[in-house]
Amino acid sequence: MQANSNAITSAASPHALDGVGRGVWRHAFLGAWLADWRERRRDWRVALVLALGLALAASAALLAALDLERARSARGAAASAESARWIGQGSKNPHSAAHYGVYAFKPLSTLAALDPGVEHYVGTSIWLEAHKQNDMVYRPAADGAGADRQFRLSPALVLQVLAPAAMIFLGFGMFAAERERGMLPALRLNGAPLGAIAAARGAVLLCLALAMSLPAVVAIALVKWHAGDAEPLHDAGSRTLLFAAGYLVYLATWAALVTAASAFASTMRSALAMLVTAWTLSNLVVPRAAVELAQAAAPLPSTHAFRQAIDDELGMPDDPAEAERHKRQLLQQYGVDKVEDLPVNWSGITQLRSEAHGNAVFDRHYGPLFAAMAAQDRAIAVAGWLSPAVAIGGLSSRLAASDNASHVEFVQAAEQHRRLMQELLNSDLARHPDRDGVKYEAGEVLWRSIPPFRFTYAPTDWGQLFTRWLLPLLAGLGVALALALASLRRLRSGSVK
Amino acid sequence: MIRIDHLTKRYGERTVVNELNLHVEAGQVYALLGPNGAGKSTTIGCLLGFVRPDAGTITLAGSPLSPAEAAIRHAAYIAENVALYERLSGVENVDFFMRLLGRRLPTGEIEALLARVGLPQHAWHRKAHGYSKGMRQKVGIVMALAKGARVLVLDEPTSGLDPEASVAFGSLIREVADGGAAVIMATHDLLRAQELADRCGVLVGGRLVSEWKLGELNAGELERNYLGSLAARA
Amino acid sequence: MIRTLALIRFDLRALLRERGTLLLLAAALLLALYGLFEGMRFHRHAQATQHAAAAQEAGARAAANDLAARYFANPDAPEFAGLRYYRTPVDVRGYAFREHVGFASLPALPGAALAIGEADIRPSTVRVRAESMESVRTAAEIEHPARLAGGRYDLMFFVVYLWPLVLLSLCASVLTQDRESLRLRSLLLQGVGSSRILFVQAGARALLATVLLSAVVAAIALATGSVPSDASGLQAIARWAGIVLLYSTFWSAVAAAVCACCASRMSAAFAGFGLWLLFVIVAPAAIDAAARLAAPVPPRERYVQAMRDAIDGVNANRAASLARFYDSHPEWRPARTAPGDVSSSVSRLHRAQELERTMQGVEREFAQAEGARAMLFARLSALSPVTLANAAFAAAAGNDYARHRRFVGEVERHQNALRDWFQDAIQRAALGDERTGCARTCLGGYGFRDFDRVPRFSASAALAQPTGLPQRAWLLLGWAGAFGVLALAALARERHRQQRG
Repeated sequence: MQANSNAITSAASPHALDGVGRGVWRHAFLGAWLADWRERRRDWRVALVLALGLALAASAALLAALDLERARSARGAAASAESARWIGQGSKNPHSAAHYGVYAFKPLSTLAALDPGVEHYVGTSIWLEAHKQNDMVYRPAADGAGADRQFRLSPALVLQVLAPAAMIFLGFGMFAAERERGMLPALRLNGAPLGAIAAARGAVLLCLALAMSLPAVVAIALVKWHAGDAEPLHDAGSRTLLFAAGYLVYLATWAALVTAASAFASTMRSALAMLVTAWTLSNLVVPRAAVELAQAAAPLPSTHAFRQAIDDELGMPDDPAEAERHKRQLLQQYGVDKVEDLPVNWSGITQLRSEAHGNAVFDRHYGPLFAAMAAQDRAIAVAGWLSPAVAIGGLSSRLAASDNASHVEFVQAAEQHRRLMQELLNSDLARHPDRDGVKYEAGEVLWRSIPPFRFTYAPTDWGQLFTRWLLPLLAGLGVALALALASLRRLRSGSVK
Repeated sequence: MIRIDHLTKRYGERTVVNELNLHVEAGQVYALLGPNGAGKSTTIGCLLGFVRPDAGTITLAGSPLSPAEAAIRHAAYIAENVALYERLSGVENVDFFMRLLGRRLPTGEIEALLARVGLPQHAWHRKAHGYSKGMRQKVGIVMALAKGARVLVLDEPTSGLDPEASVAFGSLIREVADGGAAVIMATHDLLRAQELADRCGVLVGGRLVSEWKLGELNAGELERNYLGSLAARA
Repeated sequence: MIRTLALIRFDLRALLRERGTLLLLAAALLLALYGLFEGMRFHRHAQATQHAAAAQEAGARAAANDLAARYFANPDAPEFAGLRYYRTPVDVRGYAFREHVGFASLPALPGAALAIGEADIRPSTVRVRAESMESVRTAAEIEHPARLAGGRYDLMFFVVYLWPLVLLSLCASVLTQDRESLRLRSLLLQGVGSSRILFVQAGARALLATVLLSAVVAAIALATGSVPSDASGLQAIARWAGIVLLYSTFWSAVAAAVCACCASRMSAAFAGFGLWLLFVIVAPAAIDAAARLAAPVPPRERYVQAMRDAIDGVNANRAASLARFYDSHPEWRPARTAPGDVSSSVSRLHRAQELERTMQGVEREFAQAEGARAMLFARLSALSPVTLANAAFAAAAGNDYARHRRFVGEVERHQNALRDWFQDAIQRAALGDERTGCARTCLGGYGFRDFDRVPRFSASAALAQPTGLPQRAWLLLGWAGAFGVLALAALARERHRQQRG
């Protein structure tokens, strides 16, 4: 896009700079701002890029909102059905109920409509049953036809990938065009602070890019309006604000980078080449390379090895000597000779012991697994210092609770609930011995006593958010602004060619 | 030879070339003078077949072919800035252009031609990226010589050349003309036109308003006549 | 011919003398080799997983044989005092439902390292359990989800997404630089048309770059063993190179069209980047969105609910369905136990089959929805050359959705056979136990040692056979032709405009 030349005529004379600097700066900024908008309004290419961008953004927002509504509706209905099923399962031995179990479904935040993060690639439901820490199952990606493995249209894609591309299109000629046309000497002699002109033009770019976020805002408002109890975030308001601020910083970084490249490059072509290279590296190469290299930071076991290790440990029976000691102690405590005469249910006590053993095994394996994933999260975050796209991607999905850490949080909460369920069921069993060869059966009273699984994400750890994502993002903005300033200095005093 | 009869070209409502009649015999150098927008570039475009005239005929080297086809066979063109392939040397540029004609010239022959036009030997195999304007003009002449062009079209050839280079270039053009080529040169450089051309014409508003044999005029007279022609049409 | 060769030779000579060109090609090759390295690493990890699975299967079988030899020689030995029937391989129930270790592996094609495709979300090694296909359907490798969400950086990613930028950069100056420098008139005067310049030079540049990429990747792939150094490996490389050539042809046609339309290199670079964005990001995203909207798959939560309802139904009608089962299999009917009193471990496989029968309708609904979406996606992919290329690379490497579906189909047939085998073994064991009434697991009752006769999965020859160049990849030539026609039309229009002024 051609830079506008009208801004050159806008400013005060060099002499006016001397005492009323700020006033001159403001005047120059306003002049350049108005001139640039005038130019943009007349340029059909700007209208084309904006129209395409808005169309994509609107489609993405609409699809995202529909997907979220559908998913929430399905999960809500399924959760209600599971709850009814659990209560209405009739009379049975608590251990049978423990094996019957209950399915839990992962809730989705409203912001996940904007940034689905990893949601498409992680399971949506988990079976909470006795003796097993199951994995989440039914990844939406497994039902896809392969289209998903390419770019999936979402508001996050539009804002993280396409908006910067649009800014490059619209802004690469910001100063490079003037240099190519030989208007640089005139620009210098004009006396208007180049910083003011650059700020104005950069601000126009930013506003054009932000226009592409409008459909997302509308979609969020609509989804929020329907959300009701389905919102699993306590601090949704502050997350949303930071979400918006993060994207503002990200797009401002690109506005500064476009300004820097255009001011630095000797030709429009080299400005475009620089920016396309930066965009490709930042958005396509570094994010993927970061994830791959993070594997080295904390390698994950294969499913096969992981399952085998757990099975081997679970296969080893609970210490029989310890069990025997416990039994003798109980017999002595209650003054009976046979297990059948105990006023407690030895089977229930055995189940409690078995569950404790199993839980210890699971913790020994899942603990390091989740720790390794967290270490990989930290390693990936380091790439945020190199690529603003990595930083905003991490921040965005974290705030939307659609990142891996949030997923693990849900998995661990579900597991805690499972253990609570087993504890309550087995304790009840332990309290009720079989009589006359008839197995103990519990009923609705016990089923209702198990609290339903209601999950909300923990409040945001602002410190971690700041150090891991915000700080790199802000640093990126700082570096981009510094580059822009340096380039403008070169523009003012370097070669005119 | 170059024969232009009743050449007319319109762009929309504007007539850029209007009933132009112009003849250049073999061995002659014709200087086409005129202010900016007079129609010189359009005339050249028609001559070389790049622009289709609305009326009139153009004959190059007596060939019955269309101007475009005749230009390919018989004409060479030297623009104001001779555009060479920057990453190829002078020898490679000439070699390339000749191969495009379907001819292979031995390197020795190309070097001989470059020597003939006075391109310094150290530049023959150096990339054209470092060539001065004068050196590029010389390579352009070599291409015309190598092609055996019978028509040579020049567009502001001495613009931007220092006086020495300008004189040297003029000698080469004279040499080409003396070899039997018809040369037409669009230029603002009255001095060079007076020194080099056999005849000149002044194009104003698409019409040839004056024509002189330059052997009869000195530089000052040429300038007066030229300015007088412009004033008469104003 | 001499003209064409001159256009190619001198253009390439000038191009390769530019430092920027050499840097661009070097960077491209490095990025490509990094992608190859990642693909190789993934492939080796998958192979290691397959070997480990095979070793575990063999080891478990050997351990089971060893245990059975010791146990049945002396079941009263102290080491077997705490043996529980449901946790030991020497009891057919314990073996069938817990201890049996059986895997099914999708054999890797020779070119697997050249494109990860869908292999990261559709594991090539799955555990097969007699009871149901659930472990197969929900199988997943342990991965950081961000790796799946972002997509792999492999050779396919480089070729599909980054390679076009290289080609567009290389070709952006064809004809445009001649126009900018006003050299075009001199060229036309040599009797060379602009269309010949355009197609010959753009084609030669793209071809040189493509041949270089293919040669380097082939050499490194063979040298590092990413691809086997035998006839099958060479064929895989040839298939891959063929798709690269088709894809490069498309993008060089795009570059030609851009250069035909644009007056300068800058405009060409601008337009080229715009088209790249359109084809690489917008079109595939649009196709994905269209497929999601037009062919939605029912939410899996509905599947879960249907399954739970089915389980409830099966459990509620257990006695009646078992009675029907023994009516159709009278040879297994217990002599002294009523159907309603048959132990749950004996009826477990029957209940699993009943569950599957009950779920047939839902399974069909989901399968049809997935099939409809896959078909729609395949049809729509003709509108997206990038999608075509993606699919072709994945298919050539054997890591595509369709091949995995065929694999799951074979696993399902194997699982049915496995279940039938164990059903027969368990029912006969139950009858035997009724007769012998062992206090502990014993031969003649539930005792089991026929580990070597348990069916094992073997992939069909067809599954291990690479297909030829994917048919739909040829559509890329159609796209290239369309852009070629566009280039010709643009040049004709330019000529007409110049002629008329």
